[in-house]
Amino acid sequence: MIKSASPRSVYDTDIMAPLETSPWTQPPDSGAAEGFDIVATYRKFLDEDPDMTMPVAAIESLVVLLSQTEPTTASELMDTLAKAVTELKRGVKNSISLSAGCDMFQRFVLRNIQEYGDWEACRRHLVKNGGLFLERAKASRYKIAELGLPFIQDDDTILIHSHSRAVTELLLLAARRHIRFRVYITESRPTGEGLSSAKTLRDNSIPARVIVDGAVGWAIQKVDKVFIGAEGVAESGGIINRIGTYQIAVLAKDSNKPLYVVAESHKFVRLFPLSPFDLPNESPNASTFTTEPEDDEIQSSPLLDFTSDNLITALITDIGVLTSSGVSEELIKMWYD
Amino acid sequence: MPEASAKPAGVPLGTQTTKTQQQKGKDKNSAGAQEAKAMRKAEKAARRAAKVSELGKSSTPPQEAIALARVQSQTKQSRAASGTSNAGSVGGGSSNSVVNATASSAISSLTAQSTAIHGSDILDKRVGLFKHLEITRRSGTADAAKDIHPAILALTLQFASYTVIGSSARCRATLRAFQTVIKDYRTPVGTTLSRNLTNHLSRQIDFLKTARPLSITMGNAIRWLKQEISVVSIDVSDDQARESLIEKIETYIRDKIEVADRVIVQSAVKHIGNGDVILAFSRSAVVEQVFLEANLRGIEFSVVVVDTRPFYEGKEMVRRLARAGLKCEYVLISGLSYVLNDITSVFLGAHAVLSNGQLYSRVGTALVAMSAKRKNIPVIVCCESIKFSNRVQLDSVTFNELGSPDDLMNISIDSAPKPGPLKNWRDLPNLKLLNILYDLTPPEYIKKIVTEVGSLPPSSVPVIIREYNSA
Repeated sequence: MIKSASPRSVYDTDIMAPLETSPWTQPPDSGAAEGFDIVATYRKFLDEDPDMTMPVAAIESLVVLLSQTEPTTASELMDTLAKAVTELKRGVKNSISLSAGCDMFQRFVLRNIQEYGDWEACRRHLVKNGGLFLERAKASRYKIAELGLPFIQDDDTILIHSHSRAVTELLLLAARRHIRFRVYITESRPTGEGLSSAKTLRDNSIPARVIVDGAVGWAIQKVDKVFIGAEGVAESGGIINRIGTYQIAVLAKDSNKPLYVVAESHKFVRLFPLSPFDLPNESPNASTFTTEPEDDEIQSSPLLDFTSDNLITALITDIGVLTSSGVSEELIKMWYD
Repeated sequence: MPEASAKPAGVPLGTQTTKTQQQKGKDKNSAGAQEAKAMRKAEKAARRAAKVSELGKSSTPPQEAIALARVQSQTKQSRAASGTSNAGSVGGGSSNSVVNATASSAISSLTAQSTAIHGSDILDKRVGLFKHLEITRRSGTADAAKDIHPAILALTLQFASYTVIGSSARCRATLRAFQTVIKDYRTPVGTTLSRNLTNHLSRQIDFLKTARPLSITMGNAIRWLKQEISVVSIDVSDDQARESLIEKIETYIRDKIEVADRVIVQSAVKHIGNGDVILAFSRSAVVEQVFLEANLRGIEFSVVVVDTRPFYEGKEMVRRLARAGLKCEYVLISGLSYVLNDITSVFLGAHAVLSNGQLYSRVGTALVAMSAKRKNIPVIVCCESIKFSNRVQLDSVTFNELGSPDDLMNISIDSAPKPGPLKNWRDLPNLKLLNILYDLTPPEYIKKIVTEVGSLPPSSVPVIIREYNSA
């Protein structure tokens, strides 16, 4: 009945599947879970709460699914979950951090099924603990802020990229603790999310300056440390993040400025890209060339890049401040049983 | 062993030193029996010589004759000690036999019959930095103890002649041989299987080691097997115990090597895309399977196989790949920088991965990895977790394996040996040849290690070792 828990079965799950089949272009499968639209639920969660991150919203949608469906066996449950996850990944653009949450939750469910012999009790326990799981995931950002506080000192000049809730949380906490520092923020084209970061910081009386992405090389001389969020943290300890992260990391390395990644542990994802081209390609146009002028060229530019572990000084997460190899250790522990 | 035999070459040939030397030699038990035999023969010859001299009214005192005979026996002893099994059969007559042996050893091939290492001369020819490494290469099984199983004898010769090569293949062959050993094993009266079988296996393993040092995989498998034997309950009948052990070994081979390989292939093949040009070094069974699988999946890619002397293992790989219809290129390591320009990724096999992330693999691997890193080409290592070792090593000098220097002299590119310009290297006093088998690739050069438990950076090797041991 229950899926074998050998290390291999971990590998056989659909973690790597999106990469090889490239399902982004396929139409979503409508018959996954009858009468329940996982993608709509997910979107609703994200819209209702601006503080909610993608993996948490994904987990929350799955918990809702779990409480609404009536699967009769454990394997049917895993099946329903797997189908919903696939549908969610298909339905949502930029699904990396989302898949981290889904994988983690599937793992959590699998482990619980193995622990409980009685099926009905197991399901009740899952729905209840799914909520607990969520609480913990949500609380992790505040824990990170506490752990990351010692990294910010008086008179620091900090560079941040785009908008990251975890980084913002950390900076706000530092300001509340009366640490005085300045922040450079990249504009982060094409989304321009840096501007909203700047607004939040200035509203909380943190002096900030927005620069264009190209100006990082100019500013890096005056910067003491760099803080970066993450969409997903890969197995190598490298990060998948908003476009522009990699070049900032290279510049920081070149000028020997420490670069800290601030990310919740539920963003650890079982992916091991070697280059951005190993990530799901959401902007195929960006690697083609044309002699004709194109109108939406900027819009089709890629949104994510991959920063390898050797450029990262440390990762500040809710399970502690880790080195890159610490991340892969945590991931192995999480997936290995 | 080498210490005992290294000395005679250097010491002046006096009766006194020879005696102490022989005393020392006697302590080393394996050479002991042969040496004693040689001693008896030599003394007999000396007495004969003394008789002759007495008859001929010669002025030579018998003392000297005995000393001369002892010198002869000593040369024999040193030869016996260095693993030439037929030393006993060399006649006790003239001291010229040593010279003859040297001359006849000038051509040694890669075949089992060859006697690779000869007497004290080879010991002078060892490269200083690597003197601590044993040269153990057996050429026959004449001196095997009678409790060594024939399957082990055969395997030992296959190891020595590099017919069975590659750490997974050697591990699998060893385990299969152990299955036969266990099948034919009968517990002696007055002892139990769980106590006696371990000793019995240890003797087999000691004999295997006379061909080549154990590979890391074999070490891991043997440790596991001994553990399994030690927990066999004394209440279980011998038949049942044997059966269950054989069954367990079978499962072990399947899980740790065969299934592991399949999982690695499925995972590593995702790194090959259309239009890729992949570089592989020497031959690795897993890497080969990855390429074949990618080919089966219809991915259009080509492979550049970089090969090296003296084994030319890459030839076998390129032959198999070409036969499967893959586009291949073959180049020796000296042409590495030339082919590197078009490469999209490098796939490497492993002999072992140490717990500090260092890759211990066929000599030349480090060079390939370093060159790839310099060009920012990702280096991917395919490796079963059975190859992970607890050991930490910082350079490839402290621990390594030496092959026969004669293999370097051979310039043949096919199986028939052909001595090149270095034919007479033994006669050139200032020339030493070093045939080192492995090197160490630093973790910085490796992007990713693909194992059956997932892909990981080299820094995570100790995690896998720890999780495995605790599991």
